[in-house]
Formats: sequence, C-alpha cells, structure tokens
Amino acid sequence: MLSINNLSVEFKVDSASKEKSILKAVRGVSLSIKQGETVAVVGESGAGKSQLFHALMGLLPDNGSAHGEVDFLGQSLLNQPAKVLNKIRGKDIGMIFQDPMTALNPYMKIGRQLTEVLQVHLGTNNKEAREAAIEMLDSVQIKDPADRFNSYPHELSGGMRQRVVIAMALLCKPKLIIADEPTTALDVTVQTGIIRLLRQIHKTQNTSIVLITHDLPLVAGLCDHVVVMYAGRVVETGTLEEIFFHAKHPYTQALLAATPHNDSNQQGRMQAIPGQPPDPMHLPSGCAFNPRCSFAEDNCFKEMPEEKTLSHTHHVVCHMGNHDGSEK
Amino acid sequence: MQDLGIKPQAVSSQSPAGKAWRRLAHNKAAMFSLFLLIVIVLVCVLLPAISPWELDEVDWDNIGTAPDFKTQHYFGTDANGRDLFVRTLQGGRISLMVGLLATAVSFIIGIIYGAVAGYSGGKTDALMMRFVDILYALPFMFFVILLTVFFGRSIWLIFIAIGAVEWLTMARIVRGQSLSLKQRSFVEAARVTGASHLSIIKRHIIPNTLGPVIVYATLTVPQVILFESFLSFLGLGVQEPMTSWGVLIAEGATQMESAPWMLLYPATFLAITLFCLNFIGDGLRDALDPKDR
Amino acid sequence: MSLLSVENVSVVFNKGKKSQLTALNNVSFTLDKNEILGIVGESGCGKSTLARTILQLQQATSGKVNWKDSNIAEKNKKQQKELRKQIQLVFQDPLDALNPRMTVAQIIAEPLHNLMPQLSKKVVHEKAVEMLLSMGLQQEQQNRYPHEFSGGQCQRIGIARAMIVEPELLICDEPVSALDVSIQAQIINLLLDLKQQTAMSMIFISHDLSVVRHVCDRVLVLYKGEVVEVADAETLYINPQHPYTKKLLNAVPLADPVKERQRIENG
Repeated sequence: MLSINNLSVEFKVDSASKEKSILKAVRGVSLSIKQGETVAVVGESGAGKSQLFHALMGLLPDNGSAHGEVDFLGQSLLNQPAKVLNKIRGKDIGMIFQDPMTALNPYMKIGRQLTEVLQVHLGTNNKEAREAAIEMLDSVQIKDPADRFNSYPHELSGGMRQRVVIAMALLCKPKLIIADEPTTALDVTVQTGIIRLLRQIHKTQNTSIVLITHDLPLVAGLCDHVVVMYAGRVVETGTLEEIFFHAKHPYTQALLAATPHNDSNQQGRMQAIPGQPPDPMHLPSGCAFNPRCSFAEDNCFKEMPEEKTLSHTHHVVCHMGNHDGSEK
Repeated sequence: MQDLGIKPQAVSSQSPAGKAWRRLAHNKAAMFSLFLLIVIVLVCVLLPAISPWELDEVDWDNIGTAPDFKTQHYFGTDANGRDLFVRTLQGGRISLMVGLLATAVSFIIGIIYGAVAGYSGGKTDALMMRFVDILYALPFMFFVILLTVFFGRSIWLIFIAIGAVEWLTMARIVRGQSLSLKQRSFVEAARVTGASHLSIIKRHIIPNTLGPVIVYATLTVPQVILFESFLSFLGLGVQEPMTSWGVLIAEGATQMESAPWMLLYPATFLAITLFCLNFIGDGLRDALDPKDR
Repeated sequence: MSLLSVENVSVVFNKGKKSQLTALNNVSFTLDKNEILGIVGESGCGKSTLARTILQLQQATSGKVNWKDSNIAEKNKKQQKELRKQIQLVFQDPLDALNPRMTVAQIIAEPLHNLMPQLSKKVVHEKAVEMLLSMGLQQEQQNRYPHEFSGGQCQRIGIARAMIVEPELLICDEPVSALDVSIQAQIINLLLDLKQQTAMSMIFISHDLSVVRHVCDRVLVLYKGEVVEVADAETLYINPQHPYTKKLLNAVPLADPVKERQRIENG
C-alpha cells in the first residue's frame, strides 16, 4: 500500500563555513507497509523518523528537500504539488501529531474543526457533517459528544484533545494513519487509553497504522512490525517478537537494555549506551553507530553495512549480520 | 568516568553574538551600508581638515556661489558666504553625535528601567509602566518649546529632549522581554544558586534582551537624527555658528531655486545616512532572529 | 533526626477574587541522610510546587519545612544563603536551564560567585573546570555556549552547577524526561554515582515509574496535591495499597511485549 524507496531528506542550514551546509536527516530509507499492518518506527533524536514522514506528506519546511520514490496506492507522493497532496492528506492518509494543543485551532470550536474536514474532503453538507462528527466523537470515547461538539480546545484535557485529533484523522476513513509520538505529551494513565483506541481502530477498520516513537514498551501494545532507525538510516526491521526477543543489531539490543522496565530486580545502575546520538552534520564514516558500538570492528569504520536478510520479515543492516548480543 | 564517544569538533566557539555577526556578514546590503556609514563618519570627522575654510568664516568675495574647486569651496557657499563643505561635514558631526549619543543614553535608561519593571512584576511593574504611559501621553513638542524658552537654544537641550522621549519605547520593549525571561528555567536556577535580584537582572535578564534592543536602537538612530533635523528646521535646535544637517536643510530649502547646492549636499548626506542605518537595522533583525534547526 | 521533614504543608494559590487553586494539601514526609526518595505523580499533582516549596522559591501557605530540625521559613538572610549551599536543584529542560549568553565555565562557576564570594577568581575557575571534567565533559569545551551541546551534555552541565557547592540534598525535577532513552540511562547512572561518592540525599521527581524504580529507595505518590501512599520502592511496586497507585502502576507499559499486548487488549 505504501512503498518508500531510497528516500533521502536534506536540509540547508547555516554553518561555520561560508556556504550553507547540507544536513542529511534521512539517508536512503526503504520500507513498505501493507494494508492492515501496524508498524512502529523507533529511534531517538536525530534518527530522522519524523522527517521521513513529513517528507512524504509534503510537510517539509522551505529549506528541506526530499529525493527518492514514494508510492501510495499507485500514486507518487514525493514532491507533488499541493493540489495533489491535499486530496490525499486528511482523506486517505490521516496524521496525528505530538502536541494536540498545537494541532487544534484554539479559536475554533472543535465541532467546526471536525465538520470542516468533511466539508472540504467529501463535500458533505452541514447537517450530515455534524451528525458524522458527533458520531466520531462518540467512537473515540468522548463523553457527551453532542455537548463537546461546541467546546473549544482549551476546555478539554490533554487526553481528550488528542482523541479529538484522532477523530479528525479518522473522519474520512483513511487507509493509513501516521501517528507521530501521539502519547509523549500525555500522562501515563491517559497514554494507555490512546493506544487502546488506536488498536481498536485498527481491528475494526483494518486501517494501517504507523507509530513513530522513541518509547519501546509502548510499541508492543499496538504494533506488529518494528522498524528501528539510527542517524537517518534503517538499522533493523522485523516483527515484534523478532525485535524484542531476537534483536540482532547492536543498537537495537542496547536500546532494549537501556530502557527502564517496570519489572522486578530493577534497582541500581542502568545499562547505558555510551556517547550520544551523532551530529547529523558530522556523521562518522562507515556505520554511524560505530563510536558507540561495543562490537565494532575495523570494517565498521570504513564501509557502510549492507542489509542482511535473516528471515522474510527480519532484516538487519550491520556487518555482523547474525550477532546474538553476547560480549566478545 | 563514562566515555562520551565522539570528540567535539575543533571549531571555534560560536557565541550567540558570533553566530549573529556571521549571519549579518552574509547580508550584502547591510554590510555595504555599514561600510558606507563608517565612511561618512570618517569623512565628517577627518575631512574638514583639508579645507582652508573655517566653520563660520565669511568669504566676502564668494557669497552664495556654486561649488568651485578654484576657490576651494567644494560644496559652494551659503547666503552668508560661509563654506558649505566644512559646514556640511561639521553639521554631520553634530547630527551623528546627537543621533548616536541620544540613542545610547535612552538605550541605557530604557533597558534598566524596563528590566527592573518586568522582573519585579506585580505592583512595582504596574506603577512603573503607568508612569511611562503618562509620559507617552504628554505633548512632546510643547515641552521642547517650553524648555527652549527657559534655557535657550542649545545642543544639550536637544540631547535631553530626545533622550527623554526615546527611552519610553525602549523601556516597554525591554519590560516585555523581561517578563517572559523571568519564566525561564535558568533564571530560577540563578535564584536557587544564590543570586541576588540585582545580580539576576544584570547577568541574566539584560544580556538576553539585547537582541531586539539592538535592532530597535539602530532603527531609532535615524529617527533621532530626523527629529533633530526637524527641531532645527523649526528653529529650536543648535545655536549658531554650530550647525547640523537639519539647520542646513532649513536654510537650503529657502534658496532652493536659485542655489540648489545649498540644499543638495546636506540633504544627500542625511538621506544616505538614514538609508544605511535602516539597512543595518533590518540586517541585524534578520541576523538576530534566526530560524533554528 | 531526619535531614528533611515536611510537616502538613499546604500551598494555595489565589487566582482572583473568588477562585483558589490548592496545589498542595497537607503534605507530610521525611527524608533521611543518604536516601533517595522518589516523588511520582501525573501532571497537576503538585510535585514541582513541592520542590519549589522546599527550595523556598515558593512560600507554603501553611505547615512547615524543617531542615536539620530547624524551620527554613524562620531563617535570616545569611542562613538562607547557607541553605542554598546545602539544597540544590536539577531542572527538567536541560537547555532552558542554562543562560544562553554565558559560557559553560561561567554557568558552572556562578554558584561559587554568589555563595562563596571570598574565593579568588582563579580558584573559582579551577573548581569549575574540575567539575566540568568530573561530569565527563572536556577541557576544551569550557568556553562553549549551551546551544552547542546536546541535551544529555546540557544536563551534565546543570548537574555540575548544582554539585559545585557540594549540597547535602539534590532535588531532581524530572531530570531525564526530556532526554533520549539511551541518554537517560547515562544521566541516571551519573546521579547514582554522585550519590554514592558524596553520600548526599536525593529527591527524584518523575512521572516515569519505571525510571523511579531503578533509582529510588522509597517512593511517595502524589495525587492532586495530596500524599496518597509512601512506601519502600519494592513494596510499592509489588504490593501497592492505594487505588490510585494501583491505577498508575497498571498504566505503565510492560517490558515483555506479549504481556504488554495482553494488557492493552484486556482493557
């Protein structure tokens, strides 16, 4: 349904030297999503996961440019004029962003923001749009939807606002929802509800969902497939089980080890990854993870690793394709 | 201690000021204007020395004559026979000095007043800003004329009059900045690490307001010069034999048809200076307000 | 004698003529030497207000805060300055906590300027650089500005600034919430190491229960300004008593993906 082929995203930025430098946020990413799949795109700051999806939705700022191929149901998405994208954005692809307060217009009642979506994309008339909006508010579990229809965003709690944003994304029954850190700004008790809601939407409507996040434990509740990104490239992809239990890339393994769990025996020092995420302007040669990798060998500093196939769902981009995580 | 991985790049340190300067340097209009402004300042300060004529020396043989290299009246003479080259440049010194100094003074008063008001907040802030509002409302020209009547025409009067008005807007700008800076974590951190309120205003608040303040200051200087010209035009400015561009323009305007050079030279200098300052101000605003990565 | 004793502290904000906001309601707890206390709660529970009340950035409307058995509200200026050397704070937003116009060395040295003015410039500078190095940063970085550093490095600078006066209590207000997972672990290890080396006490405020479990000896749960439960870390996690605590713990995603999937689907 969605196929991304060798996508690169670059930004022109000010730098110490005279000319503007190029910042490579995404470097040759390829991945594909089938209808009805739930995929998590996991990575830390600088991984390029948000920029990747902003690019395919045509949401890059002026100084950004994207190259490669993106195909959505036979339609090329990359670098298309706004007219073409506007038909797809909000209609076939729904987006949910991190901060619900900035995603909603503070001066407009939420009901109107919802009906506007229907009127613009589907040409629905006022009455039907209102009914559809209230029904959608109900299905995202907002109590008293008819009353809430007339509320302003600041009158709702953070969790409720995010539900409204989800409702907006769902109105035109999209085939794909891209959720960019949808729960990061929310309390933990609210997070669970949002993830459950997304899971339910997936089950009832077979909508594909892309969950962009840095929070690994959250992934398991919703997604069946995981794509791990580091410094603008994909380093490992696989099913939920393959990633959590049989991770092969040292970064994936380290990330899992560094994540605090709510399990017993958790006192004391944590397993940190030394160093920090690389500066996208000054990436190391060879594999970008080499300065922080406990298993790096000579080759890792010289050549970019190729993708190795471990199973038809499990791929890893590492010179040591079959690493099991044990110390040298 | 833990390995922090990648070694920091061996680039020279980029202070916020350094970064802004580099951005400004890329703005050709601003750089050219800066260069031109420096040239004008140097010309006004140094060049009168090459002329044999004094500021108020009357050349009885050449009253109201056009520019002529032979008589060494490079810009011609005015209706009283005084050399316009020297007068224009000397007048430039006055105009520029008023512009820069009056702005600097109002700058300093405005920043301190605004920073204290914004940081104090509450009743103190309200009181201080109401005082500013009242001063804003007073008819300014009325005061200037009143002061002139009492103290006579003097360059210092101009300074005081202009400084007294310009600090108000500066205070408002800084107060607004100050209010939002107060909320930043590093101000709280300063309190937690024992800084006194004075120390916080001095080290944390004021340095962080300088961006908009500098921009506003460069855009104020042309206003001030223009204002001084206006006052001089009305006869309220500098005393004879001292002159300023405003005075020269006023005199030149009366002789416009018969002796256009009397208006042309001071007006051109004034116009170029104002253009330069505006371009520099615009450039600074762009340089200090970057779109972050 | 406990190091810190908070007794029936309430903080009420007046928001205009008729409405009031009770940020803290009758909060009491103690903290011993060499102990790490976690304070957990969701947004609006009052954890930040509590930190600021202990630090005297906020006045308590009623109740008292005792430090080493004496009420901190009853201290004169000189004593309050002394107190600033003993209780310090690490902030949530690492970059915002640093003055963008000061170099890193200046930022770390500032507490010494304010609280130990008798020290010479040379000594102050040396101590600042020493602290910088002990946080894992490099000598050459001392004249850099905050925006040139990553989030994790900024937090190290913030911690260096807090530690330079050798406090006995370090209050950490969501110190790792704004950081990447891999960096969180580094900073947490750093804090644990510091605590071990100096035997100081810590109050670790967080909304992230998994992190708190790693770090804290005892945990206090706040809900809407009230203390809902206090217990040893393990006891709290294994056998929570209060319904809110249970709700909170149930909401935390589990590490095991199979169990986590079940948790979501059985909601």
